[in-house]
Amino acid sequence: MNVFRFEFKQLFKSTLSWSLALALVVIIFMSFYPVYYDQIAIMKPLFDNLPELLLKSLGVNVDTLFTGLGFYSFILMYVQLIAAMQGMMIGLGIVGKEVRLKMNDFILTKPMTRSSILIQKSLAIFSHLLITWVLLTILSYVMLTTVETTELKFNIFLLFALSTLLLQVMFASLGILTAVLLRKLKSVVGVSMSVVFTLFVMNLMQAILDEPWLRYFSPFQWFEKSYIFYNSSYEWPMLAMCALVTIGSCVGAYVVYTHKDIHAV
Amino acid sequence: MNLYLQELKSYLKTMMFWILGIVFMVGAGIGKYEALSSGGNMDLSTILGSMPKAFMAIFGLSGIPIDSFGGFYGMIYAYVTIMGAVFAIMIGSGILAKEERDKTAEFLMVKPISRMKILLLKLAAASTLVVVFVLVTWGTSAAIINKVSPTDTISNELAYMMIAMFIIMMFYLAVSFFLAAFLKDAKKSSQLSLTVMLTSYLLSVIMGIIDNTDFLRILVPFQYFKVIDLLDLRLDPFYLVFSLVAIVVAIIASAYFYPKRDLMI
Amino acid sequence: MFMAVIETKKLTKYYGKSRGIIDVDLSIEEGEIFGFIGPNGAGKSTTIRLLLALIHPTSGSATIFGKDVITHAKEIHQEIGYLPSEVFYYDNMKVKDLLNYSASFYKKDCSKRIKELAARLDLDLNKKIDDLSYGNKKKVGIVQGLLHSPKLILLDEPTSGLDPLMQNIFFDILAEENKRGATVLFSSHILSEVQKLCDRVAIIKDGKIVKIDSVQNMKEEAYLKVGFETKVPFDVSTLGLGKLNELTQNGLDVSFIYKGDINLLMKKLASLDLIRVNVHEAELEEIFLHYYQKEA
Repeated sequence: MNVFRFEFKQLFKSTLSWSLALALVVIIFMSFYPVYYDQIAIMKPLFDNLPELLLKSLGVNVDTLFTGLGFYSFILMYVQLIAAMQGMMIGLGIVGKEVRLKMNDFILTKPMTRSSILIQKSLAIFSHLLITWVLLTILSYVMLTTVETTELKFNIFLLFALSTLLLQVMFASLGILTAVLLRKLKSVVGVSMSVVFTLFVMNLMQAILDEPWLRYFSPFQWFEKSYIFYNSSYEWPMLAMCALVTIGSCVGAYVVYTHKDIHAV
Repeated sequence: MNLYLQELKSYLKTMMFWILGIVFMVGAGIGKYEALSSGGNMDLSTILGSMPKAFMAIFGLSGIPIDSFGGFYGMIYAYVTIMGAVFAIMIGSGILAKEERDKTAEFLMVKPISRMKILLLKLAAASTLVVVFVLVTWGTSAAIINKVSPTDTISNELAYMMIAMFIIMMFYLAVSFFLAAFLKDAKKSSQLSLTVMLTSYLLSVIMGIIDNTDFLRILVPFQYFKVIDLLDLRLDPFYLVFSLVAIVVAIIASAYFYPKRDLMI
Repeated sequence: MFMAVIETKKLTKYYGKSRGIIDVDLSIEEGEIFGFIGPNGAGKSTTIRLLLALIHPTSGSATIFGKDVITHAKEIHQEIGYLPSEVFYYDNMKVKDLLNYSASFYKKDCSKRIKELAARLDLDLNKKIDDLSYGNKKKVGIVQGLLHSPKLILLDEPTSGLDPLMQNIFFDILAEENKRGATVLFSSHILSEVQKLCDRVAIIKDGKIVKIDSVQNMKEEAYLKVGFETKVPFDVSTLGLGKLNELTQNGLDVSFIYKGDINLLMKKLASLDLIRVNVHEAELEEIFLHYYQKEA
């Protein structure tokens, strides 16, 4: 388990930075809740008159819109942007470390199976994501109970919080798969930024585009707020998609990594 | 000159991907407008037009009048600009740092060409790529707009938006380029560029939610040129000058610091 | 008594259509120091990478310690020390951190050995690897490959970058390891080293083994390097000495490599009007070089 210990220790600095960034975002954004509430309160009569279908397509739930949790579900998009970046970057960075540093000759000639190496690294990655997530969730809960005037629906909050973790893990798996597939890895930031932002902007555009099939390819859409509010659960097809991509990436990475030729650099 | 061409060549594959992405985004976005305007059940633009400010800000659409075609395109412009910023940062932080990162510095830097010249040629290549990005966006938009709505030409508005996007992209390019020139550690400079981008993006969202935050505008390139102004064929003169000055300063600073510092081999 | 530590049977590797190695048969015995030489691109690295399971064979097989290199890679690696020709390491690590991390993979306590080796090679354990010169980084590679006292040591251009003093120390260490019972596979371009250290040598060219023999035998093949200067120009072929390799004639200076009856050579030379003459046993290097050339 030395690889796990090694990578786990190496990740502390990064996790600290990312947790700080996430904390800042949550605190700053949640502190705007009062402003938001004032604006929304004015619009309430308007909302009451709009057709339900329209509201649904906009991700607006009249009951919850005026709650702290409702606001949280909106800013969650940005929290998840950062969390996704973290996931992809450490997934890509930790597994791709030897490729990037041309060190495959070192680690792959050690008495350890490739699968063991990959599994240990993945464990280190997921552990750190879990740590970040726990800190983030606690902080979010604290912020919510501070600004929230009405009672907080805990189970729905949990569903939202959990969706962040699921996304992080999914992006990390994508990062792991990418690291295994790439022969040369030059810039972790570059690759991660491009992938995550592209998917994020696609999510933003969904508000305009509104194509149902597109949702399958837009990870930030998989945990749709209004659905969670209405049904207190996840949409099964979307959850399945998330699981599929996550597990598929991990399995794919495992298969490729254990079988591929490692060429001299 | 050969260096300039060599750099352009090295980004060819990357450029292809991005061009595809832009075409898709613009095409899908404008295509949707056609679907909406040609008698959709929900008049999305009208509804969005009456959304509260905070709500719009969440989607990154603050200050955009959605009720006209120009306004609608403004939405697309806003999103493409985000991608443009990511693109600019990727190129800006990479093109200079890659010599040290890929250990090709010992090859290039001992050639009979001054570091200053190398820097300027690389900058020229990077700027060219930004220009290509803008032109592709411009061309695709113009072509699709023409097809969708030949009468309602917004070619002037489009021109202003493209120029604005170009300036914003050059800003991010110059900043990330400077960071790479100034800092020895390529990894740190790319991470810093990412932080800059994320921060400015999140600040732009915050600015949308809260009033009286115009003082933050200087930190947020995305907001230098408001869509309302652009639709009125107006580029905010203060920010126009500011951004141009900032770009020039960043370039001069790069040219000053890069030849002076030790190369990390 | 002697077990083949490394055994390859018709080991072949193609990279797509380009040849890596073809039908390589090697049998390296326990306790040998085995040299592996050949021109650039001949297939030395490919062979070593196959033995280490970094790449997979297209056909043929290889075993180390009697076990298949691919399926039993993990066990085999426990007893292999590998020194790659290019050394790269994780950023921001001190030498001792890397060596300790390396040691953590083996089920032995290597701390004493690390200290010994580092001291002998004059390697500062507390320095950051990033701050080391190429040669010093190479030392890290050496210690990393030997710290677990492996039974088999695979070396790829091990001395490139080391100063002459360090090279000698390194060879001493290798000799000690060998005396302890370790087998060494030594891939190098520095023919003098190979000649000095190795028991047997394999020469690979264009992916195929062209010669495997003991260094002793190859020396005894009695190549003579002959050089002389005559008073008047003459045609060497008139000497009737048969095939002469690397014949060069520079005005009155003649030199060639001769393999044949030494007495005949002496008689023929005596018949010439010589200004000066030089006859010595060809260095193995020169013999090796002969194999490196296009026409073997």
